[in-house]
Amino acid sequence: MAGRGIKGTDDGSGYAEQGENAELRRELENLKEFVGKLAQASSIEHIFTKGFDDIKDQLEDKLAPLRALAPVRAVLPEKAAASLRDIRLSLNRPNFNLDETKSIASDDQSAKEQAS
Amino acid sequence: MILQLVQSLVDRGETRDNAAGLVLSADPFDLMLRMEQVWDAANITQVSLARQNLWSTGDFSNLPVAGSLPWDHLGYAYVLENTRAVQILRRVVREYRAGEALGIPSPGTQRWLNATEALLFGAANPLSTWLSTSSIRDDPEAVRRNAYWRLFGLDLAFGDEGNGSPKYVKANAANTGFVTLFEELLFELWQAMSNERNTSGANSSDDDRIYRIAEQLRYELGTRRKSDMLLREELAAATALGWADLTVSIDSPLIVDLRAQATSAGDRLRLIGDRVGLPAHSQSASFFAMAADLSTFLRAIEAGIVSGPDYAWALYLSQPPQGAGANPPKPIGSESRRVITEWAAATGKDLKARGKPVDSNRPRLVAVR
Repeated sequence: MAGRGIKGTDDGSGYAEQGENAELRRELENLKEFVGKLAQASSIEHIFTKGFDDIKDQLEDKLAPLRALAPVRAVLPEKAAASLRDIRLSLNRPNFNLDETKSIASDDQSAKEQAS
Repeated sequence: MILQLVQSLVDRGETRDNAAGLVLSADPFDLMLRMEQVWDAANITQVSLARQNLWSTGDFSNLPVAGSLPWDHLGYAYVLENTRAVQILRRVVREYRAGEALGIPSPGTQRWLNATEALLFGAANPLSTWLSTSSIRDDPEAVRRNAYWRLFGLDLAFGDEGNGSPKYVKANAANTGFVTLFEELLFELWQAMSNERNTSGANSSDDDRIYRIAEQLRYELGTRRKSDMLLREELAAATALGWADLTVSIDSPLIVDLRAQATSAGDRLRLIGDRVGLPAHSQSASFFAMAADLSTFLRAIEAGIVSGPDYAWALYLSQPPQGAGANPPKPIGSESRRVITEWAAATGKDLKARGKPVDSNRPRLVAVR
């Protein structure tokens, strides 16, 4: 901006104009710095997000066969669950291999409660 | 039925050993009436009003019958009978009834003798042990052998009392493939158990195979159970062997009279066998250890608990898996594990290893030309 002064005039007003321009330049620099910081932050955020998304996608693809290897353990149908409770209730007995205070019955008390 | 009756008394507030003593010294007629009550509760055949009125007069009639099929599976009777307990107890009864070679029986032992003659050996009683014997099939042991053969395709490990070949009707329709399927299922269950916590190595468990073998076993057993066949023979057998089981489970008056006190059922039976000159099976401890668990295991198979590969876990996990819903029933993994261990010990077969490993060097199939 220093070489861009209005030529052919020499009334001293050029000095005031130069001061104003310097002020504007400083503000512009501040603004550029501010915008730059903003842009930088959003770029990093963008890279991070995109990066994790990519990793997630890659992991899902790569680990899919392992997921298929894990056994699927579904909840027993109500009829089967009721049958199992009934079997436990029907065959409940004391365990003579344990101390008098312990018995299979106490282990399966929950089964009895469920059945009732 | 016998051990379940003891449990009913425990539920009423008796201590375990008191309850066992009450059953062992019960009047045989009360035990017969309890069988009627249990049969009635299972709702298999129409029970007449006269029978209902009769069992309601029994000493145990005020005890509720738990569950819909409240007696042990025939498999329970089969493994316990292999201990030779019934034949040994027959000699005990004969010796006590015929003379004093075993000493003078105490009053408690005399009550036991009365009940044993009625429950195991067909002594005259107003009710026979749930109608599984008659003049056509008068030997209760032969009736049980016939049932074991039909349901499992198995004979007992010994002959008659004199070690002669046993005499019983060997039906043509029998599940002769049962043992192969059963042992294959136990092998697969062991694979699943040993890989239960395996998260990184090769996993040889196969839920689909477990389901298919369990289904095949269910079909085999179900074929012999059509229209509730073999159920009353099962009740009679489970009652007889339950009586033998309870007899040697505690140091009862009989055990004391015979000086056969010990810490386990197997040891008590061995000592009694020594007294009467008939040795118990060398693997009796294994038979006693697995009998109750085998009963639960086979009932679960027959009930079709595993109706798909996704439910195979019910046979090999000891606790319900995560996400099994609210209030799930306890799976039977603990019972299966006990059966695997004791069946392997009793039969001498290593169920935890394949008989013939897969040969990876085997040539490929020849192409069809």
